[in-house]
Amino acid sequence: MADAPNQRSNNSANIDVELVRRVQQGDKGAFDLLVRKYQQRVGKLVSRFIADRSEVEDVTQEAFIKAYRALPNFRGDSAFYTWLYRIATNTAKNYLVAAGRRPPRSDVDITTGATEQGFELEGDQSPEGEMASEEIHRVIRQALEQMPEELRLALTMCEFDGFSYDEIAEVMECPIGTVRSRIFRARQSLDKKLRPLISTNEVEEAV
Amino acid sequence: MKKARLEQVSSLVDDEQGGSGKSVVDDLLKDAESRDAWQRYHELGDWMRNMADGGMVRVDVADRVSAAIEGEPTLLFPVNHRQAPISRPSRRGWSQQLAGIGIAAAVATVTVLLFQQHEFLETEPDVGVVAINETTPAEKEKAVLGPASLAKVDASEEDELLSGELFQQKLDAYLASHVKQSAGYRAQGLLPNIRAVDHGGTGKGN
Repeated sequence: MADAPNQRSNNSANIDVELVRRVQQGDKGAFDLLVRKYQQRVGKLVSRFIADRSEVEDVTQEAFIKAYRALPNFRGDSAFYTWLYRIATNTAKNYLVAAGRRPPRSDVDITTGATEQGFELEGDQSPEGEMASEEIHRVIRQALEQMPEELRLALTMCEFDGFSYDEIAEVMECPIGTVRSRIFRARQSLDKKLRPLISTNEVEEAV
Repeated sequence: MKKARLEQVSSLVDDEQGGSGKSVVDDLLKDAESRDAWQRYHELGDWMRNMADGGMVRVDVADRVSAAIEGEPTLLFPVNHRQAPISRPSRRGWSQQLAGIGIAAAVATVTVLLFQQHEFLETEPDVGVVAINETTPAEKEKAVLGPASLAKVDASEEDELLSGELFQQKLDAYLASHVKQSAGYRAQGLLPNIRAVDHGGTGKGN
């Protein structure tokens, strides 16, 4: 299946601008929403440089804190996620230098994690990490297979192909409200099955 | 109610909320459950998109970052985004104001000049508007300069016009009328737009 982080990031430009604007007006809660949105992608990027999972978490956290401190200098010349990824890349490289380890000589593509030489950096190769990833992917595949076709189509066109709701409505020949509802129901269905694996602290506390 | 709220969060994840996006963000900031759904829906998408390469590490640093920036100074500075919406009505307001002032000034000037000319005709039926008798390009240029110019005239008319007291009285009456009108049109301080040609000796210019 196609990896389409570009489309998703572009689609999210408006909400990012709104959240950044709120942070710049003193709303720290808006920055929390940006962290929740991008932490997996930043974590993945950092894991291209650093193998150890706990170190990945530390560097990811540091990258977000640096981004918060640097937000006064963010003028919106580039997309927020591009700017954030640049900070994360530099933070990871600096971490390796400070730890006496050599950072990769070539830059990492922010959308694929690949280097200029065409190979990917370390990633989480630990047995635990691989098992957890495998399990999550297995559950997602299974959930998608069991899902009604119209829900699966709507969600995959949105997540994999980066289609807008308008475009999905055109392809599926249905009103945009139906698309909205189908994507939501598909997410609910997936979420229900994945919660035991990727539940957040707040959910664990609430359950 | 809860379902509708979460459906709105789902739309916001895809940036498909349109005009109501800001109010959904407000709800997100207030409601922990919505915030949690926001995080999980994004993470679901991340996992789906990463099924091909499988190289994803699950991290959850939101609480740690939140606690860390709690001690940071609050950012407060004017928004200066290229992508931030620019207030178009405000820009239109400026241009409209400038255009309005320009039109008002033009209308006022034309009205004053017409009124002056009209009064001049009424009070000076025997003199009338002095015809411009162009003789040289330089004089043509001079004639264009003033809407009520007195340029080169015939010698007999000139003698009549410039003959002593009569001319002075008419000129004084005109200036008095101009000052009165200027006050009415809030154009005090403007010099009367008239130019008289002095042909030496007898003439009394301006």
